[in-house]
Amino acid sequence: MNLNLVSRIKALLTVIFSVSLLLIVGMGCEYSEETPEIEKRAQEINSVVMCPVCPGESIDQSQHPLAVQMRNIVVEELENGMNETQIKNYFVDAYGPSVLLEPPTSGINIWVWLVPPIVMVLVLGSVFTILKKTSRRGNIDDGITYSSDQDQDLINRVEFALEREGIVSVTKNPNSE
Amino acid sequence: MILESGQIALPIALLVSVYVSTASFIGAGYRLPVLVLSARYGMFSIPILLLVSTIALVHAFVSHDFSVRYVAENSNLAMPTTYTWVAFYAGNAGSMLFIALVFSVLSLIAVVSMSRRLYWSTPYSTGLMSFVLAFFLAVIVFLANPLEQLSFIPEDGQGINPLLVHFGMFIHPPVQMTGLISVAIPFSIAMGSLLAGRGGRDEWVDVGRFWGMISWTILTIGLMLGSWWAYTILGWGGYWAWDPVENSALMPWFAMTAFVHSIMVQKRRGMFRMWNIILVAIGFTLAQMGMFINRGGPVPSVHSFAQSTMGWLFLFFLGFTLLSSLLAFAIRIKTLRSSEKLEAPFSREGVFMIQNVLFLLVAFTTLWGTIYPVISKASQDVMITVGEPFFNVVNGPVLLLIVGLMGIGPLLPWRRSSYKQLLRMIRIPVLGAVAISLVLVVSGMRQPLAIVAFAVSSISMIAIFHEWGRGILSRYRKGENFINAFLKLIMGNRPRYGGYVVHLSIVMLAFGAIGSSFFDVQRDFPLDVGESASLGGYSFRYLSFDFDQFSDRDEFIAKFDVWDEEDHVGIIQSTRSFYPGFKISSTRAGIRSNLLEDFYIVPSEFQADGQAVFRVYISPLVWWMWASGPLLVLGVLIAIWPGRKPKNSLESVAPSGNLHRK
Repeated sequence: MNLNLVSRIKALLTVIFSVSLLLIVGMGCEYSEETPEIEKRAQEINSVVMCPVCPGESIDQSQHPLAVQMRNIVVEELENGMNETQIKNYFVDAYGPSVLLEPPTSGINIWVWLVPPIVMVLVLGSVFTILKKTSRRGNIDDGITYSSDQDQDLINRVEFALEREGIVSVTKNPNSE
Repeated sequence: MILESGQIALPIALLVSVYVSTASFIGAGYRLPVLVLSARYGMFSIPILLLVSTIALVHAFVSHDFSVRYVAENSNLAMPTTYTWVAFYAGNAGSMLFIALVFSVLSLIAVVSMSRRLYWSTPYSTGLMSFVLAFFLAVIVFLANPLEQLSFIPEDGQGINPLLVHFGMFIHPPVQMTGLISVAIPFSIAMGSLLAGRGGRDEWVDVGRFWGMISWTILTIGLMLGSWWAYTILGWGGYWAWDPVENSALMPWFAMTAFVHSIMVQKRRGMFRMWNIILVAIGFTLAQMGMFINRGGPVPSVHSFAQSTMGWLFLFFLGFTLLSSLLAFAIRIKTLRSSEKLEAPFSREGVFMIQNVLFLLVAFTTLWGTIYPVISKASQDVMITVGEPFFNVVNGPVLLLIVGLMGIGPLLPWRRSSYKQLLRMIRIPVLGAVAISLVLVVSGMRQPLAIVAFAVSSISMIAIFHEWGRGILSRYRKGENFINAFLKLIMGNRPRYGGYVVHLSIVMLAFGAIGSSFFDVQRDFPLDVGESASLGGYSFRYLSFDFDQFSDRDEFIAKFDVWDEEDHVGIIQSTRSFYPGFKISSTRAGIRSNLLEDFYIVPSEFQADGQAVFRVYISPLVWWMWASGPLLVLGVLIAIWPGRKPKNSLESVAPSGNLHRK
């Protein structure tokens, strides 16, 4: 009874400790609404348009003069009232489809998006079937439960180690049941 | 003289490695111990020979001997002397020599340290390692000889790519190369044991796990250093862009992460014998794929430093090793029966299996996205790009799932457990995670995905703290003080607790990645000297503009006085250098980190009067990612540091090794 309370307090302490750690983490992630609307939209476009002369970098990332120029075009065209797709298409017309970091979602290239989920479903499906089969096989109730080394096992080992070192002699801890 | 010895040493090293490989295989196959021993002794000479060549190359760099073609291509007179020391691995041929040197040393250590324990399989493993080494040496000797001389002597060399001139870059490429090639060692150990027909005896497991962890750790460090370099040099406030070459280093990392986990199942339960060999073979294949993509692979990337036309040779070698592994596997498959059966999905083994599959899936999708442009080019003659948005959408959820499993897996017992037991085990961590997400919502976080991601990643952390807390308290009540109790707890089962430390570092990494990708703020500020601006609570004033001319570059330095609300952060320097020899600019971001966030400022091109557009980022929690690196290494060291060998499971609870005083 008493011990139950103690272990609850311990659990509570762990949670409090972790939560406070996460609070610190959360504090780092506060602001969001500072960039003006148009710049935010521009950033979203910039980050998916590749800088044609700097392999592997988007125009958002690159400080190459061409990237700077393209960024300016994005802002200008947004101000002129073009939408995201129109601007992207504008760049595709100028530099070809490889200028977009996001692979196309239409035509035959849709397969780049489709293959990963299909493979995932197939593979995970078969794994779960295997696991389910084994669980049926493993359901022989022989009355043995295997303790996780999380709980009792851990305490036993700790005590065993203590005993070996001669710090305390524990034969059987009445509390540990 | 030095140069000539270096030139001669290379073909000799090639011959020796061919001999070692052949002699080892024949000696093993026909049971000729003398031949095996002779091969092993031969291995000792290779690092020495390669060291001679390396010294010759470094000497040529330091003494500006431009008669050597590689030196002329990768250095110049203007280059500061410190750089000449490391320039030898900046290009293709030199990095090949570096890889060969490192691999010859690592494989020698591996063979010497395993020969007694794995008497029967070591000759095969030796043969395999030397075969891999012979491939690299053959490429060096015939195709990419770094010591090859020109018929004339240029007055000055071309110099090194300025993007490489950064401390992170001094270490990142060699570490990454070492990591990729070191995967060949656990591969050779596993395959050697398979070839010797002893794959079912589990005797290779300890050695294989050790080298698997070593190689995994080197890969991890390499990836982190690369991200750090990108963060400070490339000037886009980010650290990971799913660039093809980044991916090619990440894929073997995924496979090796799966391997270092599933090898534990074989160690503890005698299961997954085939699976582990397949995993390490996949890891090695992906590592070769990495080298292939890096060396003139077909996909454009920021990593075009070591470009060459010999990428295809690597692809050929990759195909060859993959096919022969499959063949060996098919021949020996009978020896690999598991001694135990998987009993239940709710067990440590079950979770390991799911985790393994998820890692391979994420490796597959990464591979798919990376090579899809090639497929599309070949099939429709349209070059498309598969970039960050694709990988974030496809890999993000799987990675988060893995991080979540990382919290739950270690709680489960081996063999099996019931629903009830499972619920009891995960109760506290899951409740804690729910509490955390509530707290985050209450404190004003409004991004559902980020909240879920934080909560899922914290499951693991809560579970670990909880377990540590209980273990420590249990010892404390027996009269040990807290620090002692903690140390002894960890030393009591180092593979387990070392693993926890690594898991904690992964949680830190996840926090950093989540924080910085969901909550970073960026803005461009056109500023003149003397002007001020502010972003996200920071205000900064453009203090001064300096111009410096160096032998190899022009440097433009902007200094900023930065305030965080009322606190003076300090003076931050943001630099742009122009290298006339290359017509390339590189930037050095001004960064100030604290526990919560990074303030990051990087200039675009400067006008003559110092006017420039400055990009400012405020990126939360980035520091956590860099800090996770050392913690991860510490965890690995705890887990693999060789101690006294426990004979059975009961003894493994006794504190082994260092901390135990008599």
